Order: sequence, then C-alpha cells, then structure tokens
Amino acid sequence: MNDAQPAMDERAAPSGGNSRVAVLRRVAPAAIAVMPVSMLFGMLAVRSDWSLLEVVAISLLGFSGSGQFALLPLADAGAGFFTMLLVTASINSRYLPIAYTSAKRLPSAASRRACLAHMLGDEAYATEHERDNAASVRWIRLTIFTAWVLAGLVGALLGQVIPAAWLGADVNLGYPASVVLMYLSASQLRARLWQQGQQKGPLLAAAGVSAGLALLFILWLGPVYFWIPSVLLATFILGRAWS
Amino acid sequence: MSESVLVAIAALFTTSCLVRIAPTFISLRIDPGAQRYLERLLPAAVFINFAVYIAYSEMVREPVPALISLAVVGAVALLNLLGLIGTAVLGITLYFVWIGIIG
Repeated sequence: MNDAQPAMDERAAPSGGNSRVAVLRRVAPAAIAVMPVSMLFGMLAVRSDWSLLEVVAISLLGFSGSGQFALLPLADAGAGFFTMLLVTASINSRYLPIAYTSAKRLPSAASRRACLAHMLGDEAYATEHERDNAASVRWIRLTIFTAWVLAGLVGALLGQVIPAAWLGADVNLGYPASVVLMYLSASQLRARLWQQGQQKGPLLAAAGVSAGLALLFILWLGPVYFWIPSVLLATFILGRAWS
Repeated sequence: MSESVLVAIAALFTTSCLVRIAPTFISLRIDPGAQRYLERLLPAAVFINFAVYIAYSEMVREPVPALISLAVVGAVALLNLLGLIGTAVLGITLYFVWIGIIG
C-alpha cells in the first residue's frame, strides 16, 4: 500500500488532502519518527542533571534536535551565550531559506505566524505541500512539535528510572527519523523537479552533481557550515538545468 | 533552573527567532524568474542537501548498512514504489539486519 503516496506527490494530491484527518494521517509517521530522538535527548539531559522543567523548556523554546544535542555538552562545560548562539545558529542556518519559502503558507496574524514559524522543522517542511493552507500547516507543525516536546518529557522520566548502562547500548535510536527524512526529501524532489514538460535527464544530472558537491562541501567545511554555500550552489546548478 | 541551562535555552530560542521567525516577516518583491528559484529550485536544493547530509551522518556511524538502507529508501521514494510507512519499515529492517550480518 502506498501509505503516503498521495500526500507526497503534490500533482496527485487528493481534493480532501487538506481535511484535518487527512493531514493528521499524513503527519503521523513523521511525528512518530521524531519521538525516539527526542526521548533520547530527554534521557541524556537528565543524565547531565537537567531537571524535567529544563528538558521541557528547551524542547518548547528551542525545538531543534541537532541544536539541543549540541548544547548538552556546551551547557555542561559552561559555555557562554554567544558561543552557544554561534553553534546553534550555524547548525540551524538551513532554516533561513526554508522559513522564507514556506512563509506564504502561514496565517497573516503576527502572533500565530510567529508561533507556527517557530514550530518549523525538517520533518514538517518535508511533509507540507505547496498547496497546503494555513490550517493544514498548523496541524502538521503542531503535531510534530507536540510529539517532540512530549517525547522529550517521557525520555526524561525514563532517564530517571532506566539504569545508566542501558543508555550506553550502541543502538541508533535516531535512525528511523533519518529514514523518514530521506523518504520525504526524495518524494519532495520528485514532486518539485519531475514536472510535465521538463526534461528529466538534465535535471537528474544537475541533482546528481549537486549531491556530489554537497558531499564535498561537507567534507571540506564540515556538516555544520556546509549548508548555505552548498544550497546556494545547488540552486544555481538546478536553475541552469531547468528548461 | 541552572544558569548554564538557561543560557542554552536562550541561545536556542534566539536562534529560532533569527532563522525561523524573522524570515517569515520579510517580504521581497520578486519577478517570476526569481519566484521560480525561491519556490521550486531553492527547496529542491535544500532537499538534495538534506538527503546528502542524512546519508553522510548515518554512514559515519554504520557505513554499509546506512548506505544500502538509505539508497533503497531514496530509490523507492523517487520511483514512487511504496508509501512512507512501508518504506520506513523496509529501510529500518535493512539497516538493522545488515548491522547484524556485519556484526
């Protein structure tokens, strides 16, 4: 069964694709996939003597998987505000273009717009369609955001009762989230690049070159600082191949 | 709350304001060509980089299982062969089976 096929392909999006049930069905796999990652953060934070309130607060106000994990050792080491800001802003700089391009889907009221913008995450962006209305975007982002925060709390609670040795087990709890994000990214590429009237060959070649260059940028600049130059170069390459 | 955690929370919230909230309040007047870049090509570029970043991050940890699993997941998604749930189960199973085989 193609569980999420209609949701992934914007050209084939069903007319009822914006109903609340359809949106919740679409977002559920992504919300479930992020939960183990957030739970792991909660467990590790408690092990670093963070309180439950602190875990919930950083999940609510920070809402950044990689950013939260990166700050755990920095907070332990007593790093300063601007050091932490530099690290997290670098890690999350990819949200700049994402936030800008998805802004038109947000409500116009400033407070709601700001709240939903804060709830933007990789999984939400990959789940949303260009044609989604503000209500759909709200449900998508709120669902993933709530799952993230609650899972962090559950993880923190579990971290208080689970023996420390268990957390050292070499199990990659974040892998399901990576699989979901890979699927959503590939689906979004298919929907955005493979349009009628477009020659697939040049676009596929451009996408392949962009991917290769992205890997080189990662190896050269590291997985934190490669985002902006690599995304800009890929945009340029894709633009040259777009007929 | 401890001071270091408060600083961490403040840093992450400030980051969110800078990279997620502020861009949604900025509007630029753009021509159709630039609009195509912003609405189709820039997001596509982001997703290409997402895919590479995910593959790199996982392959650093478990090279062969991650490569095989994520390549299958990407191909299935691009060819539209399976839905999200089915593909996720397939990808996760492949990953952990290969880890078991390799040891």
